[in-house]
Amino acid sequence: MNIYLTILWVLYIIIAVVVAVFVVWSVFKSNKLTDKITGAVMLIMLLLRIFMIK
Amino acid sequence: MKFKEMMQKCSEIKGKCGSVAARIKPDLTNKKHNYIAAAVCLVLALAVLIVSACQFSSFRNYQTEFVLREGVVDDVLKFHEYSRYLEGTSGDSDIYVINGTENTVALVKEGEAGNYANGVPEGAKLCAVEGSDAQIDAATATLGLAEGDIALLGSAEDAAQAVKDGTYDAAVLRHGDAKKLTGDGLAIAEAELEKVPSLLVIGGTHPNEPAGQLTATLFLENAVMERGILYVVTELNKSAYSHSQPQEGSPWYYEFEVDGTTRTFKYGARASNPVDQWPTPDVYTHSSGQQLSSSEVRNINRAYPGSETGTFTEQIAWAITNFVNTEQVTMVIDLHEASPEYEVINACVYHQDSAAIASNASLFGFMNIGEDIKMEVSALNLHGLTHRELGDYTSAYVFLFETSNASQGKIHGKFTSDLILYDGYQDKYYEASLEKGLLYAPAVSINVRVARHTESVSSIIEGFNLSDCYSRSSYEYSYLENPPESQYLGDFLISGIPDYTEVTENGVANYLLPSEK
Repeated sequence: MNIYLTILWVLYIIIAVVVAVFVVWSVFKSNKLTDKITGAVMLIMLLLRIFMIK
Repeated sequence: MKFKEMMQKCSEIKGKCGSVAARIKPDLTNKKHNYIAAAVCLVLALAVLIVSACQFSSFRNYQTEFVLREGVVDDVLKFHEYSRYLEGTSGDSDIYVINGTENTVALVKEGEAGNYANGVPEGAKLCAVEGSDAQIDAATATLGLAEGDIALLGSAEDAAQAVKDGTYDAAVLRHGDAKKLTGDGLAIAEAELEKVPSLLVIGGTHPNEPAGQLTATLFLENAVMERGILYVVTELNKSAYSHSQPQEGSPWYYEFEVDGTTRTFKYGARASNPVDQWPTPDVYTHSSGQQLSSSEVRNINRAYPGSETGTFTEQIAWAITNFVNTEQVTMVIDLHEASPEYEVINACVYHQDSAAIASNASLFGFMNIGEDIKMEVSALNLHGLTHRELGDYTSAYVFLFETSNASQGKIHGKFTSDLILYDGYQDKYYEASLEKGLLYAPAVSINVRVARHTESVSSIIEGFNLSDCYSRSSYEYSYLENPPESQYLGDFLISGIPDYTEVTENGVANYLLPSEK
């Protein structure tokens, strides 16, 4: 059971990192200020989870 | 006219803001401006991330201080000793052990203590102190010795010296005397010379229920044990103390002023930290087959009996189940709180095989508490809770108590430490709800809640002592393959615990020890 949870956890972190990278890319790509601010706020949550702080 | 003037002024301000915004608004179609705006947003996000990460990390790693009285707390056990995968994790909590001074123990040479791990070796030469009839009778009965098999010496010091000299193999002494003579080549053997009752007081199952932890702390810092063994857990789910309940906006700490120092306690979440246990399934299936909603997978009071190889929360639950079985704990009391709008409140929930003790406690003890304590037998079809599973998977008498906690409910206003303590404070929404008859119990101060719990625990002890002091004899729904036979254990004798009136009048802070930090 624990090995499956570990594999899932690793996959989850990888997905979170990929999503974070795309968020950063979209912050730079987007022409709307509101999109940039939304992306920056989302990034805070993602990074807190990737670094296992929250 | 005034309204028209106000609307006109608002339009003027809106116009001015618009013109200012138009001047400073970046032209994001320009690549350079776009990248600068993105960088500014990301830098601001990074700043917020660093500040919040420091704060979250500080809260996660803050260790609540529990003052251990020197010479009183005999041992501090760790959860990983009973659930090995918890070692090095945030779930590896402490179990504090306080032995009764009158308990009968064997004092042996340090190097030979290992020989006594499974009992006193046959043929061991024993001595005791003349006049210590209780200890001599207990050892004689437990070891099946004849009268005169234990040599009598003048004092505990004489007996210790005789063991050191090798004249005798072990000295049968009061635990209080033996403790003072350990060290210098002597140690207390693990061998059991007397059957005594034991009690496990559990606080901190749900870190958003402060009275549980505070009552356990009060026992840890005040109990004077005469006979029996007291085990105290102050932070059962330490992982749940490392974060706060999402979307509640609760304060992280609450404090008491004690003799010029500050004792700080954490106000955590109901369930284990998702950083420690993920994923959260849509449906949580307990080992019994019972299905609950997803968030309950990290609620330790739905995880019993637990599993050494299960989820993180199940491993913590297993530590308690295994501890109770390994140490043959006689009674387990789990202390909780509930919101005033919750039906099971101001209640004692007991395993059906603990009914006799619960009844005695109800008749002779709970009368000292200001309000009625509802007696509820543990439901057979609700699994995962201490009063159900510890009763079915161990040989302990198991009880759970609830008091009324405004900070746990949903009706309250601003969430501050005043709401948690509710001492000299009233939440207007709860007071209004009480007037309308919408609550099962009024919100009360932390002093009243802790007072109820301390009196409840004392009542259970009294209930045990009144019920002839035998270990459990009934195992109707038990999963134990070979439940132990019921044995006479004698009284559980404890003092130093304030009663209901003392805690409500003097306050919890009066019974906490000053901080040593």
